[in-house]
Amino acid sequence: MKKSNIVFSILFVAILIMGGILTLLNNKSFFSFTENRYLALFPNFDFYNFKEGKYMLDLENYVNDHLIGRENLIKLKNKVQYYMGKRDIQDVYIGKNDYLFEKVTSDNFNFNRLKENIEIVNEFSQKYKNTKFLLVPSKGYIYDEYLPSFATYIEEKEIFDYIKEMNINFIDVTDIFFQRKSEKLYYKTDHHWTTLGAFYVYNYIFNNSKIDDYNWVEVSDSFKGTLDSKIIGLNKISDSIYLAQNKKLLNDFIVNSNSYLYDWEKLKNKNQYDFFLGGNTDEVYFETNNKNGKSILIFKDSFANSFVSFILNDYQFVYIIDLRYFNGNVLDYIKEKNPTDILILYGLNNFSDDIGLLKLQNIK
Amino acid sequence: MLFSSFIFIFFFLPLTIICYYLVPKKTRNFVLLFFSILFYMWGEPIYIFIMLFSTLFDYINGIFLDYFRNKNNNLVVKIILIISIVGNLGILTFFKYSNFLVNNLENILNVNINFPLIVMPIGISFYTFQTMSYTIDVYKGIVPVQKNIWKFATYVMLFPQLIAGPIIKYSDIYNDLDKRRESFEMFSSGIKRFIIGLFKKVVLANSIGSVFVTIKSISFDQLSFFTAWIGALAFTFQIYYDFSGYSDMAIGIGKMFGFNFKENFNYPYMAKNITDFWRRWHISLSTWFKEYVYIPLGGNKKHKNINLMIVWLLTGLWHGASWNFVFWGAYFGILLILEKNINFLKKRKTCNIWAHIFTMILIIIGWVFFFSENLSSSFLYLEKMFLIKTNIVDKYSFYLLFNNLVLFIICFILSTDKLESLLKNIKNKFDKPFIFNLAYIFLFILSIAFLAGDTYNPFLYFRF
Repeated sequence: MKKSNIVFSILFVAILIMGGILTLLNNKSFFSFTENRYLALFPNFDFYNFKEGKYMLDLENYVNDHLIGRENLIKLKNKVQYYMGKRDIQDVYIGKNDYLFEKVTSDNFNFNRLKENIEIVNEFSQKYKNTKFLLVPSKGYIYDEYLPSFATYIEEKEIFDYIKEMNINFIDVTDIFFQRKSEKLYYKTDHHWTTLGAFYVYNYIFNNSKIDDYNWVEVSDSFKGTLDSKIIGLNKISDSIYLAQNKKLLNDFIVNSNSYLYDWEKLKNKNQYDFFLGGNTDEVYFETNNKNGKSILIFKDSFANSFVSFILNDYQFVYIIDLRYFNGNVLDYIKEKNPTDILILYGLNNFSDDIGLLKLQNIK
Repeated sequence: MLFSSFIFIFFFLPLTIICYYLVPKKTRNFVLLFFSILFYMWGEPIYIFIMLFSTLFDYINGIFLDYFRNKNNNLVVKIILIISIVGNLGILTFFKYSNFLVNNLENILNVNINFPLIVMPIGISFYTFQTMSYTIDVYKGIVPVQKNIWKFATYVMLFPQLIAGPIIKYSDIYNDLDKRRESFEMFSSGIKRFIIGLFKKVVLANSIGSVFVTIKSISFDQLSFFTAWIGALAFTFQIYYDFSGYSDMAIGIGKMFGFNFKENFNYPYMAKNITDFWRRWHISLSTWFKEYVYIPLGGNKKHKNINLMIVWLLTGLWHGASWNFVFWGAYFGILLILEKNINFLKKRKTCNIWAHIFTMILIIIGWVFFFSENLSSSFLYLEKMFLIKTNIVDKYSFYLLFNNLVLFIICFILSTDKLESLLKNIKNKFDKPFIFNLAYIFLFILSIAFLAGDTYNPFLYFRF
């Protein structure tokens, strides 16, 4: 009877027992910051759930979510896969130069919904002639040299060409992005554009300011965006978030509002991008002391959040609606606010998945 | 419940081990039976009654068979045997094949039959074959009847092999039921086998499997030669590591409780011809079919080619209620007939690298039939693999290759016995069990890490 067998057997069983006990005791966290979701709760026994097998499934989910050392184990897995050559994890491309990209290829891109949404915008802009449409190109399209070697990405140029053939007032910013590529137009760890990227687009539309008109204040140097969370264990760098402060505007140039322009509390959370406008909300308005009577209504996704501070320069009233969360009547809202301009502003990838735009459909 | 889950590894297994080794020897089968029922009920809270019925059914058949045989009533004995076979096949056919049969009837007769969708109970293909092997072996006089229903139930429901095999014949295990002797050596060997199986399934099979899934989701007519081969190779490795990994875990767990199950895989991709392949792949199934179908039909003494074809059609059908599986079985049936009948194939020199490569290509072609939804897509896929109306590479080829090259190489090396020989040599020269044991613990942790990664589920947008 070899001693090594005895030791090994007992050691292994001890590992199994400890794993189980520690997992049961590991009840501290109920929300995962890296995954941005609530972790499974310990299920209550219920004969119906048992009969359907759901009780067992819930128990398994609980154990899976609360496994002792779970995050470190997942980091280990990601590292091993990366060193074996894998360059995409959880639909994120791990690119060169520390760039992370959403993995958007012709296999997972929702072409049908894209076409439907474009058609909705088309109809909408026939009815409301003061509508402009802006789609922000993806980081993977502009910075394709930093994609992993041989990686495929959707051909965004075809999409922009398709839109331009329609009678929509479409603002194509791809040339601006390509020209200014050497500057930091997107975050490395997040799919959003930076404040600088938003500025260049703003300036392209309104053409009335220079970089020096603003104080560029670094409000964070520790931003790790949505793409970082998906590949825990692999990303080491952080991004900086800048606030662009208009030198010519007074501190209280916002006269009335139902929201913060900047939510400093959010910088303490994982998702620091929520700093802009406090995250995604359904309806936000600002009234400035720009007494020019002009107003703009923006239908948006999260991309416009860092764009809003620039647009306050030009309008007295700014209305911002996120159609995913807005439950009011869009037609009534437009009639009531009667905006001078309407802007539909989305990132291309979000736009192709978005179902909120259905609320713009069939507005008579 | 799956072996490759945290609930099994950190709760069910240690609990079973503790209870098992705390109780006196004569109670140990009861502990196994209890936990086996729990194990099965975890996945099938309702259908467990079918398995319990199946167990009781063949237990009673065995008792009556023995009783009437002692009374020398050969007619009744034969009738009981037929009842057992028909009953078991009936249950299996109803739960596994009725929808398939009805669909085919509908297509032939061009009618619409309102037949409900039958869900197949987990493991039914395995446990019906096991109970059938019992009655047939009692009939043949190979094993004594088992009068103790608890022991018999323990055999049928033994949780290591209950859900995914290997198919254990009663004759291989009935001694172990009573007279097995557990030991630290066996337990330790069982742990190591379990860890290897877990590693194969969770690290190798799952990883190479996701490569296959990616390629399978591409429309077959857009595939290039290169990508089609990567996909076929990925599946070839996935199914081997998945299945043999699970068998390894079953054998390992069996050892922890003193049972010696027979090997189910023997480096099948080292086969030198197709006959050799089927002596190395899913050995328990081909053994079962040989003993209980091929030989009773006449074996290689009477019309052997027809017997072969029947056995292989059934083997294919056993794998799934779908024509592509039957075709896959027929494909191997034809190859085996050719090998057994064409002289120059029989007398081929062994250990020839080209023989291995040629055999491997035949096996991979077989897998294409296995994983395709239907015959026409299998042929479409094969066209791509053989450069018919096809580009050499496409936009996916290099990305898939370079991202997975190391993984493919590891899969290839571990599908041969080179590593095992190497490790045996090292072990003989340097007797340092401590380092080897540590390596197993590391493999275990790595496997747990990969399992944990599969549970990672991030949400981009937060909604209350």
